Amino acid sequence: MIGKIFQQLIRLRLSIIKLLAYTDKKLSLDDTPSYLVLCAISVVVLIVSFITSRLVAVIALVIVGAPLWKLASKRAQVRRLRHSLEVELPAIIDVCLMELLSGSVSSIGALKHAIQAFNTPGAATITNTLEKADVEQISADNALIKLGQSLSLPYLTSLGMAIRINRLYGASLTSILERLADDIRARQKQRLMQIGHESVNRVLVPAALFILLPFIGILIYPALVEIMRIFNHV
Amino acid sequence: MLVELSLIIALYAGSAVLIYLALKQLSTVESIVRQPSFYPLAASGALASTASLLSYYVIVKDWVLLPVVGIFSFCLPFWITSKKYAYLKNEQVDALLEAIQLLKQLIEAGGVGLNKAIEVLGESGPVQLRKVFRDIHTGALSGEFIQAWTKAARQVDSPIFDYLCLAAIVQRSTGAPIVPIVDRLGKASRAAVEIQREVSAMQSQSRSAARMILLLPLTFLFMLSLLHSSYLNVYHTVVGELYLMGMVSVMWIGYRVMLKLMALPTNPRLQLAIFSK
Repeated sequence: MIGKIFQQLIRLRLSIIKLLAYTDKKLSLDDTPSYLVLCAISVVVLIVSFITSRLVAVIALVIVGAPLWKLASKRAQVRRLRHSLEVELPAIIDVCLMELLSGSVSSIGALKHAIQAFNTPGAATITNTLEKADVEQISADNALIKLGQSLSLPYLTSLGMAIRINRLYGASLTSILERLADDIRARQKQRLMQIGHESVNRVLVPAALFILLPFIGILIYPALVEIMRIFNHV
Repeated sequence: MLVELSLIIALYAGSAVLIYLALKQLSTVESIVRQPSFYPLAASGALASTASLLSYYVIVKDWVLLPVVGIFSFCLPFWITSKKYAYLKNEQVDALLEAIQLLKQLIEAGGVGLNKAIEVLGESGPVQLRKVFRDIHTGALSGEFIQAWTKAARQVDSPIFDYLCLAAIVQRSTGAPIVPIVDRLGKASRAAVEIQREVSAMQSQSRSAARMILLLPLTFLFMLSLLHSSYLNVYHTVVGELYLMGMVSVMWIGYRVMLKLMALPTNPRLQLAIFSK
């Protein structure tokens, strides 16, 4: 039994490490179903090992828990990165536009200058991607499109596309970028509205559970104590 | 009785003076809104709490609600200053939007450069931000353009101003036209502020309802204790008092959770590379 559990633990650890490597390389969250399945299996295995023996449970926790924790932190990091880029992208595009309007740099040069103005993980990721593309001799727009796709950030993909169109056909980048920045802001506005409207309904359950219920509890407590006293006398 | 009354009045007066000083420290004309400092407010809270406990005991001659009264009175100065701080911050946002609009008009229609526009804003722009723009202009004249903007951004502590700072610095280094960016910044910021205020107005109903439900049982208990009702006898035991405190704490936590759920995501400040230099 213990041998079988260890076999499963090692298998599980390998799967988690594989997923961690994938998330680390692709900076992607598209493996969420596999992640959830792995989490569920890990919980089952940990429960089984806890039932078998406490020592086995501790070993299982070390073997499976550690990489699972690392994977969860990595995924949180990717989520933070995505959020940071979502917030910064309109500003990056605006600075890029200013650089382009000055007429002194190319589209990629403008983007590189714009990113240098920021000191965030999002900007650092784009810088790394562009440097890596330089080394691997891949075009910067391709690298940006890939990054946008793996981070599920359609606007970053659009930025890459715009630069590609500019590189291939010489189309003016400024109007596309202006529209892109406006689109992102409009989307942020819509999300804000959505969150605002939903929040009114979201508070109903906490209001009922944490405010109304204790309120009733305070009101009926003296009566309840009195009733209990009467029953005790009877 | 007279001694107690004088003591209560003196304690409340002391607390009120401390609150007044804290409010004064938040902002004066032409100065930036500052975070209230903790210690004067804590001292004010302690005075108000002592005064409330004393007056509650003198009037009601009961101790059922003493802990609740004490804690609520202690929190009161913090609540008052936080409301005032939020109000001043809102005013600052309005001033910032007005300044951006003026800046755009001055550069676009007035045909002046960025430095001249900043000088005009320092002289006749929105009152709350005049000193900031004057400092920027002085800094720019003495050759410390970037440092002046960075310092101002730190003082104003707003993502809208960070953005303006970024646009000004990029404009200086590239010579690109700043008007399109300032225009879009103004429109986007105004839209975001509008939505936040609209949603906040929409949520005010739920917030008031929660506040009412929170205060209802306390008012009810206060009335009963004022009437020395026997219904409250059960709360005069240690178990009863602990139960009451537990329930009030749960309600307070519930209220805070509600506020957290209703809070809208705000744009964080821009993390610019020049800020870390």
